Amino acid sequence: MYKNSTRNWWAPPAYTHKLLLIMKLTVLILVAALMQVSAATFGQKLTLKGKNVSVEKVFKAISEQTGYDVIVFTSRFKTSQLIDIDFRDTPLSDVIKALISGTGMTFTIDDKTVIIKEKAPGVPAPKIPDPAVITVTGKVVNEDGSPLAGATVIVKGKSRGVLTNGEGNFTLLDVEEKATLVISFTGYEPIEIQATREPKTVRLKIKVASLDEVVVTNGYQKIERRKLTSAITSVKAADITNPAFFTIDQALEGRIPGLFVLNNSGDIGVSPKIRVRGTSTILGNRDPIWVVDGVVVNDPVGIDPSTINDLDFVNRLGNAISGLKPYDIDQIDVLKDASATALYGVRAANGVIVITTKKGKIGEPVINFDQSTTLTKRPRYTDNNIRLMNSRQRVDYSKDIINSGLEYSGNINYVGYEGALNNLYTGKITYDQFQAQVSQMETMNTDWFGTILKDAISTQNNISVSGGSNKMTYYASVGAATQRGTVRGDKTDQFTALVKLSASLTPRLTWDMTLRGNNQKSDYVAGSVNALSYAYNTSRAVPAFNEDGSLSYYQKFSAGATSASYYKFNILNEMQHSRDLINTSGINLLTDLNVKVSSHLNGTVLLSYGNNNSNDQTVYEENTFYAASLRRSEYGTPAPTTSLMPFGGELKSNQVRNDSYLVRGQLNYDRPIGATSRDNLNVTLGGEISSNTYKGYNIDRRGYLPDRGETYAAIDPVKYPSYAQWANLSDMDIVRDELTNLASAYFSSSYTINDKYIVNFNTRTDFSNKFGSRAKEKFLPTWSVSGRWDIDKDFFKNSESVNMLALKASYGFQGNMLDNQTPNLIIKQGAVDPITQAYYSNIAYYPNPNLKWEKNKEVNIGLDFGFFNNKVQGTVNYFNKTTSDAFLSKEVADINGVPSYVVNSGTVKNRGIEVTLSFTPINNLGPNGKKGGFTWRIDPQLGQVINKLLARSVNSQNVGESNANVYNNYLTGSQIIDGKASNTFYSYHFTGLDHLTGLPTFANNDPSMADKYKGMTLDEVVKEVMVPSGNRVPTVQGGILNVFSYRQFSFSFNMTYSLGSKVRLQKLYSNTVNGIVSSTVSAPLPENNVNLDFVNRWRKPGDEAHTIIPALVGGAAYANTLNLWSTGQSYQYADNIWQMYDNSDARVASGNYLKLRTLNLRYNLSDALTRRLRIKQTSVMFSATNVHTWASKKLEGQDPEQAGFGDNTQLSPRSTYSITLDVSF
Amino acid sequence: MRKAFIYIGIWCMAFTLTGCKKFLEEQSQDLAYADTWQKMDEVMQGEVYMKHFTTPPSTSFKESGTAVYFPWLNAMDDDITEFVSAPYYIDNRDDVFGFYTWQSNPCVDKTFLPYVDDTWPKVYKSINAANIMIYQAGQLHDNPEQLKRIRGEALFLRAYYYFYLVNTYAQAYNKQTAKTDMGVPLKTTEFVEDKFFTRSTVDSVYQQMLVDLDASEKCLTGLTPSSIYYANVDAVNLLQSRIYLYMQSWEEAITAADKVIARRPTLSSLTNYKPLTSFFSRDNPEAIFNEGGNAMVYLMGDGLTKSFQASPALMNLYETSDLRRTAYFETDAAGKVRYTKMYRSRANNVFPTEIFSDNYFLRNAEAYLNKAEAASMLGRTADANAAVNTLRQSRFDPSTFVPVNYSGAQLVSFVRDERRRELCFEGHRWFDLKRYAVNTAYPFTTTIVHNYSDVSYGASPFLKASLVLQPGDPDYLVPIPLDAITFNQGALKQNPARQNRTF
Repeated sequence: MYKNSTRNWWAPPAYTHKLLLIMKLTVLILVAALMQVSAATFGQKLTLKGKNVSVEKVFKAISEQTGYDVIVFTSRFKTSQLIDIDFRDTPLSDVIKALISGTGMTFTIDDKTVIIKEKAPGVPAPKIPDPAVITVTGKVVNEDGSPLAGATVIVKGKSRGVLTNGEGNFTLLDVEEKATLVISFTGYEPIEIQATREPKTVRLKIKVASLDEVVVTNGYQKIERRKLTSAITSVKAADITNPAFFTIDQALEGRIPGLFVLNNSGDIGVSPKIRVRGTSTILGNRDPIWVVDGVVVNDPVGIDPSTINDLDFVNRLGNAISGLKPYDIDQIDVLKDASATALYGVRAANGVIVITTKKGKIGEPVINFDQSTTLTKRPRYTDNNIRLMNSRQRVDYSKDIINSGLEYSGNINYVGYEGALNNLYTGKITYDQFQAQVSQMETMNTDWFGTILKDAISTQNNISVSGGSNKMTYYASVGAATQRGTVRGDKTDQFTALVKLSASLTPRLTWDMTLRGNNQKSDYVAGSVNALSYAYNTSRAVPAFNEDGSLSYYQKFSAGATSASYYKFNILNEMQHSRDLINTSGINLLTDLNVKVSSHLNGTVLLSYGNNNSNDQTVYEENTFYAASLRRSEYGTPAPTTSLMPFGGELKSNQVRNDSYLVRGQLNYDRPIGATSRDNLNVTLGGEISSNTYKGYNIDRRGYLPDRGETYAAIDPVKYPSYAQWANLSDMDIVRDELTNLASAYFSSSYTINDKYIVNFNTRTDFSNKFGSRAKEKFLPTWSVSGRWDIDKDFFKNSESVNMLALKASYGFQGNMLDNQTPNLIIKQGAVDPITQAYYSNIAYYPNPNLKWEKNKEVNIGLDFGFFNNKVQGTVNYFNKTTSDAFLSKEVADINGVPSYVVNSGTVKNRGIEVTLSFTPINNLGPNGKKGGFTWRIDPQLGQVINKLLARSVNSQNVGESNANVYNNYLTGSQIIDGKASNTFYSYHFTGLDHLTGLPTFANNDPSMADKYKGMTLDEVVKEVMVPSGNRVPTVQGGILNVFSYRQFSFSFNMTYSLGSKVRLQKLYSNTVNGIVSSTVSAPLPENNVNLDFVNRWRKPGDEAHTIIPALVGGAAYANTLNLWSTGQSYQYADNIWQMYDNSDARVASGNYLKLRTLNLRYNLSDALTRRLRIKQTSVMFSATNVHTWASKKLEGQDPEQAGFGDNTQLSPRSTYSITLDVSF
Repeated sequence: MRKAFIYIGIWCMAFTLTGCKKFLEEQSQDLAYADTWQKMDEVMQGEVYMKHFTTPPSTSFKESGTAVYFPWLNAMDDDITEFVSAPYYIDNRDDVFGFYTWQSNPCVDKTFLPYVDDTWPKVYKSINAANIMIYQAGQLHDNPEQLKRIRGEALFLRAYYYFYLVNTYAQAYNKQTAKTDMGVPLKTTEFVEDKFFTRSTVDSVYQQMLVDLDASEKCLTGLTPSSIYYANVDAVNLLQSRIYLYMQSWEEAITAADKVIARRPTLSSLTNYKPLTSFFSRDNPEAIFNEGGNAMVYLMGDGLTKSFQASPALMNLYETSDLRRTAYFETDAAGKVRYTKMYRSRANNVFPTEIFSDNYFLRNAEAYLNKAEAASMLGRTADANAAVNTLRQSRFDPSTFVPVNYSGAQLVSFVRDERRRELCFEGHRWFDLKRYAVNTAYPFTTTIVHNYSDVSYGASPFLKASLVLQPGDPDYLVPIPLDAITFNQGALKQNPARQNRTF
């Protein structure tokens, strides 16, 4: 642990240094009083000589020679008396003894401080009236009026002082009238008062941390901001949370430069993707690791890297911190450079986010109640980002299709206009009935958004108690959050509890204990129902309800492997009976015992245990369309023998239990060095072992009867052979059992020279039980060196305008090895061969003897500054991170028996600039920092990451079966391309609509190219037909926070911005996605709604001059468009022109945006009012999120974060409005 | 106090050091190193041997693709012809359409849309697994006896797979040109080679097979095979005799065949054949070795109205008293002469739980035929006639059996026909046709005609195309998969272009 450096008590003094010293004294005095450490153990020797010098001067000289401070805690020892001295190589203790001999004083020496005090706190000496001196009495209290025991009261400029007693009272004798008293208490702003005869009550304010004074923690150490050598950004949770954020990761957007947040869904319970300083690995996990109170926390359900790295993966299972309420969080430190993360070893290559939970404060119990209610708005047809037809437009559109002579295939759903028409043609209805039905349809305007979605009201409720004494502080909180999604029925209820105790057991022993628990129940519509996509894509001429209010069903086509049929369908019925229930619960215990071995050395022993359970159950009941399709009969009619699910419904369950523990021992050594103590050595040495287990199983069962005691129907395999075959293949429980053990040692040391220059070295090594780690290369060192130069202390010593200026630099190295790549053959053990009755195994990983470490090197240069009375403060960081020998999966000739293997031939480069600024243009705080004046603070932030990927060996070797994936990888940005940034995506180059047919045309997409393409690899062909469109991940993200306060009001808003990314517009032809063609017309199916863009479509030659929306085609002309000529060739680069159109450069838009992300307006009830109500503090806050987004016009209202890469429509980030009441008793 | 800390420190260190080893022991749910001979044996079962076959799912060998190697090998020769009688939604010819009709790219469906044939990568996967096992057997020392056996099995299998590769994708072994003819890429290293592969010559592939088989023979000699699912010395010698036969090294072919016959003389007497059973079985005294699946049971499945049957040319070779007519074939209700060496029938409700391989069921009958052919080519008429007669004796009822006694060209021709009668649909005929054409003595060529018909409801079948394969046609070489050619960027040469036979 770092400590404040000791400075000469009388040294010419920046005011702040004195304050720091006083703070330290408080601690020292407490310790000294309790410990009685013998002074003899210290062997400082002095040479002093002088005649008629004041004792005070002698003390000053002692201090200069030894670095020891001398403090007198009594008024009976006059430091002004003049004496003669002559000491030569005399031990310090002897010098002091001589000085105080005969005064009845005693002294102690501890931690570089000599304390002189009365032998026994006896009767005060008889008062000698002196007109110049007075006795000052008073009481020290905190803002709430509770007394502060142990506060220091010192006469300014003198080495005299007292501590307040248990009631906060103090008495200071013999003070010169009008002298200044300095009153201080750890964690509070010190205050100066004038000594007067009247008793005084002094109210201390809790210290508000500014950019300069924050103590940052990296999980292992607490470091003062001004001693920091690495790139760490710290924020207080209270400054960034908003009632609409149910987990802290959502609140980080635009608040940490260099940390990019990518929201791919506005749904509840979806964890955003986070990237710290770009993408630095290709095959490994790209997420940062989370640390809570010093312990790395794991995902409740381990998900493999390729899934978690997929930008289109919507993670509802939650991440490591899903169980932690933002309310319970005190501070977040984001460790960015190699020096900051070195103590976490190889796992930390993607950054570390350290969360510190709240702890109790000394004082009377404070009960805080915090309640917020949040309204989340659902999408509406009137929203400017919804461009869908109403039912009249839709019916007209259908008429247009029919009148154009376009035909559907046989397997469409006969609903809407087409349904009525079909009934007319087949004689089921008369023409009059048809007319009536059509006119009814035209005005139907089913509100699908209103039917499927709703405005959701969520709440967060928290109660906490905190307080404590010198011996023990406590913080306990319970929270309940009820989160409701905009999809009807989607909800998450979360209950959390946190208890934190900090106790000083003995003067040498302190103990911290934290217990966290959480339980979360989520209930969603099963993902396969795609309720949201249905709301977006369903025609408003299709009814949701009958006139009598019952659900309106239509016959929906179900394609089976060998049979096809129609079953009745209504989305509401489907939603109600197809549920995905996710239940997670966790408990975490942490205890930390700290022993002070000596004044310079302390040791900690930390134990942590965590248990997380997660159960994800998907149930389809027997009355759903899903069940009917499997049963192959309508609900209520007997199943045929070909049925895949003759009775009941389906239950899929995935259960995971995660256990982890950690034991850590750590020694901290901190010692000032040199005569003036301006040097300092700090060493931390530690070791830890941690273990993490995932156990679980997956089941998939049919015949489930949830309403009949949750039993299963017995199904006769002989009668239902199809079911039996399915059961044989799929009805197998998959058991999961993973154990990761890690033993690690780490070392950190820093040396401060002359209080201005700091040099730091960190290193760590891990040993793990991971299977297939290379035995010889298990030693994976991670190390960093960093330094800091406080320029202001050299060049701007007395400057008014430059308050702080410091240069930081760091360099770090991490070596990384991939699992399962060894010089040995690794096999996957299988079951028993049915014929030979012998066990069999398969080759899991070929030997890879030549694989080397992936090397990650990072340079960081930063400048911390504070100008003009700290009205302008900030940090600028430049970083350059290079991953060389990066692992790449390389395709090799199939003659090797494997399609690909891992080589070290990638280079990933990330560099960028991060800027954090804080301006306080107006600061009219009232006297003593009282509320009242007008203040305005503006904090702009900028984080830039430029990513580049050099892949030496990707020699375009993608051929054969993986074709479909490869060109899709180009389209979705997951292909690794030499010289391009990762996540660069490609698009077909749209060259306008054909003059004669109105069909889209694309560059270099012509059968005449066949000869040319034949000899080319797919990658070469792709580069002919596609053009790079840009990157899915922005290069710059940041935010601008504005805070205004005036009297009882405070108002803040944060604008976040993102630059440099590109997105696709939502697909127009989703019915031809991935070659699954569900229609025989390039038009939507009867039940689908249509984008308003289609109104402007090509209708006649010449239209191509002013529209890029293709014509409608059907029948043979349409069928011809479905098989692109390159299909089946080794260089196939597309499915068909409709898929090409959706993925063309004409449908790419800029993803840049400026968003009014959060807005808070808070009103604090006046002190007078709160006192009358007998409460300590009350505030009411109105807040909003995602209020408005400014983005490219081409998006036509589509949210720039709602990229049209995936097949399903995802909810755009929603606007929310909240009201919060916060009361402290 | 300080002492106490030192003691605690020492205790902690001691605890950590002793506990560490166990704590950091590598752990995985299902992964392991192949560091014992037992685990190597498991890998042999899982990766080097072809998959065994149980109840086939339904109507296409593609549903069990991983078990079936070179499934189209019997679809190209003159023993097979189509059978079309009535429309049906399943057309069993689809799986091998492009091979049956000798398309320029045989991996196309009946609409000429190409698909990716997995044979090439699958065989190389097995070869590489064998490479690793051969290497690994030299690295381990836990049980030298067993490791030697495993090494012998892996060497045999590597040669076996190269035999099929080189004869499918390259020219038959031609004594004059084998040293320059393009064979297939030879890869015998145990590690991944990141390079563009070229084709080794036919001769070097053959030499590699001989080297491997010699080494394998040394490893396996004297061991008693535990079952027909493990490679054994009889299989090694049988393959040796086959390879020498292909190389026209007649003496060596006889020597190797004699080794098999000496140890395994017993033939299966077809007089004991029971109807509705498989000739291929575990108990067949001829059985030496079996691995992999069976495509023939699909291609000639019973009751199917659009599939294949044995060609009249083949059936006409059998004398009426030849018991193989009924043991190897059956005429189903629709009039189709179908393959039944592996008997599976819907009509008779026979669904065996174990399906023996079509092409990879090695048996000693071949040794007699190899010997007979080599002897006849050398002019050792007596030896040749003796070998043929020994075989034929077990294929006829004693009452009807008449020994043969031919010589010269007549003998060669009779032995070749006998080979066809005996080994039909076991993956021999196509290769035999290729090598007969390059035999220095008694070369033989023939013209093959494959008809392709279709049928509509209520109408009789009509001929859509009649395809002819002339002697020396480039279509005798199966093209190397396009993926492999493209991937290796010119280093890997394709076979001469084949005819366009689209219709």
